[in-house]
Amino acid sequence: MKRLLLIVTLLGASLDFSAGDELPWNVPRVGHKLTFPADHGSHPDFKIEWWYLTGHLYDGDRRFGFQATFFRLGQKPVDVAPGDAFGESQIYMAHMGLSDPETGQFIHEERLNRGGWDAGAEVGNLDVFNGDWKLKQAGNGMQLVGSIKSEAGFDLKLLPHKTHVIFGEEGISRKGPEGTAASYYITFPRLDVDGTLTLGGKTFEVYGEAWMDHEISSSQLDRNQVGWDWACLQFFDGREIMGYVLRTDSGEPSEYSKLVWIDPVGELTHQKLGEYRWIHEGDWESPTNGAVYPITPIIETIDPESGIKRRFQLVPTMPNQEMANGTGGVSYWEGACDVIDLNSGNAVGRAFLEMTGYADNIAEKLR
Amino acid sequence: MGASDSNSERPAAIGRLLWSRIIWRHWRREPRLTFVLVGILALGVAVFLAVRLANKAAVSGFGMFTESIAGESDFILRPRAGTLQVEVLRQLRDEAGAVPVGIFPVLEVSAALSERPENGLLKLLGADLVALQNAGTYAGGGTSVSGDSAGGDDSILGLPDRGFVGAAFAKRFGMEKDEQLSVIVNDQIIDFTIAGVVPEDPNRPAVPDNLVLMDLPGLQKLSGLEGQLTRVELRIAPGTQAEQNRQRIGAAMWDLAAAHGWVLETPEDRKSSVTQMSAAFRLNLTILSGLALLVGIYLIMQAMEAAVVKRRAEIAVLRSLGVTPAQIRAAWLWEGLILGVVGAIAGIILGRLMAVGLVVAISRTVNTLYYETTTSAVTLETGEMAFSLVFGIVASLTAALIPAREASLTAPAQSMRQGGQGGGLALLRNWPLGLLLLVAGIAFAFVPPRVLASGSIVPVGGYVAAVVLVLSASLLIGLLFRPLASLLGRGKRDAMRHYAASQLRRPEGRHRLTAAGLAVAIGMSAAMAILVASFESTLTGWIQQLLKADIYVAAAGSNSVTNENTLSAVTWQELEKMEGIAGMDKLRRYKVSIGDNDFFLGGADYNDDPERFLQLMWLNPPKVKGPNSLEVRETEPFPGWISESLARRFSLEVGSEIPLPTPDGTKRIEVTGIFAEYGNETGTLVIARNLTRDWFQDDRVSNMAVYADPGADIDALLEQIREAFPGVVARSNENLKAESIRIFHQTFAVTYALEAIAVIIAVAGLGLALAGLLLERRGELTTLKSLGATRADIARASMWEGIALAGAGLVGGYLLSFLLGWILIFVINPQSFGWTLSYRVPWLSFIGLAIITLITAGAVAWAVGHRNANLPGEREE
Amino acid sequence: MIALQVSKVTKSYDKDPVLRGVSFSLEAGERAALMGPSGSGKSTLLNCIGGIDRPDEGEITIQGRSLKGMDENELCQIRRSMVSTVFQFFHLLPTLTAAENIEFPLQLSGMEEKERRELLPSLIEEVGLSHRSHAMPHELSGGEMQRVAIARALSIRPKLILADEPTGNLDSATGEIILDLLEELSERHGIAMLLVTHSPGVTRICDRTLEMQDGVLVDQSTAVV
Repeated sequence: MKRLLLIVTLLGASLDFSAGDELPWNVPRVGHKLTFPADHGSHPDFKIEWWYLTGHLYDGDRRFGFQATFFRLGQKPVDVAPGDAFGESQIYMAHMGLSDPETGQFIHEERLNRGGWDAGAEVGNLDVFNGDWKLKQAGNGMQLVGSIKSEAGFDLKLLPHKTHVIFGEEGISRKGPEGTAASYYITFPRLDVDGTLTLGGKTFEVYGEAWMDHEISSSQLDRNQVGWDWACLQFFDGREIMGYVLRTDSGEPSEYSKLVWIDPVGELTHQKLGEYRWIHEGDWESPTNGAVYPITPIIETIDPESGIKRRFQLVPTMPNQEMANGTGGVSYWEGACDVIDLNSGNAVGRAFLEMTGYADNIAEKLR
Repeated sequence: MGASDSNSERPAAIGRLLWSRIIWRHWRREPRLTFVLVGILALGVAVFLAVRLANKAAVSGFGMFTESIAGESDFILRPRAGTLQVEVLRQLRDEAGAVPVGIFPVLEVSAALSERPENGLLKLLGADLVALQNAGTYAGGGTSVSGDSAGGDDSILGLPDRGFVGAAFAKRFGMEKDEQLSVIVNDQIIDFTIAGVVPEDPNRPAVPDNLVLMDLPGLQKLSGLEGQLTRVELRIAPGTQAEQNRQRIGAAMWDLAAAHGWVLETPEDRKSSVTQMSAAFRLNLTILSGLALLVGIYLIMQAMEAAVVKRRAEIAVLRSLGVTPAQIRAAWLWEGLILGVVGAIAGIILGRLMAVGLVVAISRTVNTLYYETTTSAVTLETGEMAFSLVFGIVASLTAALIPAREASLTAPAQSMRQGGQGGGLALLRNWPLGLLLLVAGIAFAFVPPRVLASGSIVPVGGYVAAVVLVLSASLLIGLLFRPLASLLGRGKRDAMRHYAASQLRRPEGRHRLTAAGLAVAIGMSAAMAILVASFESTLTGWIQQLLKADIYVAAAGSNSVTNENTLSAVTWQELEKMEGIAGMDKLRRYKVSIGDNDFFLGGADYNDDPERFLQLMWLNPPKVKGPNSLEVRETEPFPGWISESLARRFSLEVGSEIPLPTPDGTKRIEVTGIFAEYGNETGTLVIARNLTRDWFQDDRVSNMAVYADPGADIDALLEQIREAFPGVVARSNENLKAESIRIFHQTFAVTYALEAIAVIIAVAGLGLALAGLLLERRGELTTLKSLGATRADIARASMWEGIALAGAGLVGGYLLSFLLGWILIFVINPQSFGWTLSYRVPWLSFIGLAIITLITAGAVAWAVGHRNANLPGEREE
Repeated sequence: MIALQVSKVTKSYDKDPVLRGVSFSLEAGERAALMGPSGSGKSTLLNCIGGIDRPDEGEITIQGRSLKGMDENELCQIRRSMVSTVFQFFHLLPTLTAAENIEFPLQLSGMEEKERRELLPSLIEEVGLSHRSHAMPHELSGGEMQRVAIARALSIRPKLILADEPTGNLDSATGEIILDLLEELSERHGIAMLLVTHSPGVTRICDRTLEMQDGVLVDQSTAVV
């Protein structure tokens, strides 16, 4: 979800190509039937779209967390004309991160390009690229090619372990009171991964599990929302949770905050605030900007299967997974975690946690 | 004595003693002399450093955008001729595969300010402003290009009339964000808006003050170069695997470049191959800048020699007290060393200040003659500082060497009798050696030049010859004293003049050194003057011959060889149709590279009327005469004419073939004629314009020579053209000639200044030498006074001595200059520039310089005499 | 005729009195030895008389012309025409030949070349140096140098010659010859001479001896011949 804010901030601070608010952008419509695989592709008539992948990779004893996100920000509701090397209708941003708890190394890189010769997203088919970074359909699954500076590179095959789900009521996910503040939110909650990872000149044959969001919208957040906490939990029992809390400037979480249980065959159980709680725990102070992140939050939720209250604590594989001071001065925390069931004390799954709006500078920029 | 174990202790102790008791006290006793010596050394070092710094700053930014905006690239890919198509970008990305590399396409277009064309060319630099945001990644930090454009504005992406400028630009033109600028691009005037000012960032070079950063597609639209790129810069992301990635990318790109006939180079390659072009010019400047220090060496040697003579009695006493010759020598060398350190430090500070002024002058020349450069702020690096320090110290030590030896040769028992033979450096009296050096110097001039691996030619023989001749002049200068003394002594009426003459008849080492210093200063300056005069007369002749048309039309900014502005086909066709125009010669100029060497390709469309055939100055005229000789062939090899410098750079002669890279593939050109060209030293190949038009798919022209109908009113026609085409520059024949000469003089402005400094130092040194001599002759002055000589009499004697010394320096210097000039014009110049010049001596300037030098020297010497006449006599009680 | 009149001359250097009221006079052709220990003020007195230095108080009159109130140029004129000096270290101009040294004062006073040419041989001959007239000073012996100096002093036909240890730098035999020469020339031309000396032998040719101590004359005895 979320990165819209990041993009707006970033572009506002640099080149002002966030023009086009008054243009006739498409908006998510109730009851609209998405068609696949076409809708895994790009939707240039919507203003904002992203393809977001997180996952956990293993090679023997080594464990890595990775994140790869491709954003599209429309300037005009049309795609870049074929052959236009320096398009002006679409801007593409991308972000990749890799954590290596064994060495404590966390590396990341971000990229900004105009739609054209070096960045783009195909309509009607999953094929997104930004420089040498690529995400595209491959067989029954997809392929992710990425790199982080001259440090890491990866080429991963991702096969859906179960089919994709679509969050929200009647196919749209609401983020605020305005009708347009909504998105099509398509998720592959569990993908089997295998491929190669090179890091610091070493090559690892890796396997693991990943999560993929594909979100399409034209407007999402309210002005009073200052940040959010988001997480996807993948349990060893084959179920997943996607949950988030939108934080407002009043200090109260927004009523549009949400938590969804996904069962092994993709059945969804939606929960509203109250039905679940997000408890901030474990302050970690960023050495870069002094922001304090609650990096071991506890999620209280009713297990739809058993009906009993579960308490899950997210424990990062390493504390510093902050994407600090990116373009536009934006910082956020995005990292791999283990899921501990506080009732039993056992590790019951893996998660990716994202926290924004904790660094002072982002709060400033949001106003 | 003899106990060897104490030897290790004592020298140092004695050294300290000598220093604290002897040298330091002398300096304290003569603060003014010490100050002047330090000052001379400082000025010498300062001039040298200033020229080096300014040279560097003046050619620092020649257009590598990433250097000033986003840091330095790893590779640069550019076409050998014409432009690259944007399609290559995808090809590059595919070739790079999974290797993370930033690919930054660049389009560069020159432009001129329509209201202030005298400010030189602007450089419009098109880069992808979005992708540029990633530069921070490659620089390893978070760099943002545009800083202050938050809020309010619309996107500038793709806009052809908006761009960012650097803080230096904003300051230079007094412009702010959102202000408008009237700019000429090609032949169009457009109103340009400043979208923002790129703030200074201490972590990267300043954005040049003539650079406008635009969104690439916007600039493509503006310049009519849709889909075209000047070059592509590649940057490897930082990280532990960066070197590996660099090698992989380098290998992949090299293959690609080779397959397509592109040039792949690193910024260092580019910089060196580009700056190579002006290397000779800058070398000349550097050599000239060393002149002041060279003259300074003579003066310091002279002053130290004076100190030796003056302190000889003291040294004799020291010697008789057991101080060894080595210790005496060491003390003198220490003196030179300390003088050198202090002088060099002062010189570094002064030089840093002087450099600021010099940058402007040098960059103007480089811009005019060689390539477009943008100056950067003068920065004083540790390396340069160290170099100057060493240079100053070496100079000072060199100067101290001979006096130190002199001092150490003092015998302990030497008579302290006054009026004995003053030191008088034996070497300087060795005139047979001088003659030998003279012959050797002339012989060296005939040694063939050395061709470096880079292909540049260094006239080693010529430089060695010059140095040897300068030395020879220093040794031979003494021969002038006797005849000069006779001349001076002929006026028997004036006792003081007679007395002055007698001093010259028995010259001391200092006389020789002073005159030698002056001779070197005058000699080298006059040699440069000969070069300039020869250049000027040749150039004037060339211009007279070349400029035969009535009116010259070019795109704005045509003063510089780097101007890329062109006139569209519509413009020149309309112009051609104008009333009163009988015909036009048209030239389209491109920059082309063969190997690592850039040169100019001219597509010439000479007027078809043989009567008005553009007269080139031929060195090897083509056998087929007339304007059509370029177009007679339908098939390869096509005929082409080359300039003398191109012939030299590529070792070409009539009949040679040139593999000319073009967007249409490599074409074979046969050299059918060689012409003289003094406008640039890069070299030019001229072929028929219909060929370039086809190969480059381009019907634009760079400039035109317009012939009016017989009897037409040229001024009216000129007015008409200017009115109809406000974006072009139209000049009358006279105007262009005058402008050419003006630019020529501007080019040499720096050399004039450097020469003046050397001569001023030399004359100041003359004053210093006389002051020393008079101080030493205090006893004589007392005698003179006791004989009834007045203060004015003594001042007059000093004046005559000064004039005679200056005369010796002048005569020696001019004789030297004829030889040096000969070497410059017939050896160094043709070898390093490839220009044939005719030898011309600027007699009038020579006479003027002589008169000024004699008057100044006389005045300085008179003042010195007048001052010293009042020194208290030695009390011998 | 009084050649030199010194009255109540005082002179201090840095408040250190060197001459404390010196008075004496010399008749034309009279020769006086000025003796006294080092630092007694002999040379200062000589410099004052020669116009190189100026007394703080008192008056010096040469051939009836008072030096008091004269400017530098007028003092130079006096030295060019009336007073010559002979030095212990000869003080020849090292770059001029013997003859040129002798000729120099004549040039300085503006004498025409023709006239100088006529005068010069006799001057050289008078000091017995005709055979050495083209030698450079450093080629001459001490005695020869002093002869040149004497000839140079004589050249302007002075009324007064000041001699500062004229034999001080010569061996005794040569010194005697030089003294004889001085005496002879003084007699022949009627030139007053003031000879500063340490050596009692010099008094041989003097009419009287002036003894100086701490800046005053203590004894003005007549020479015993």
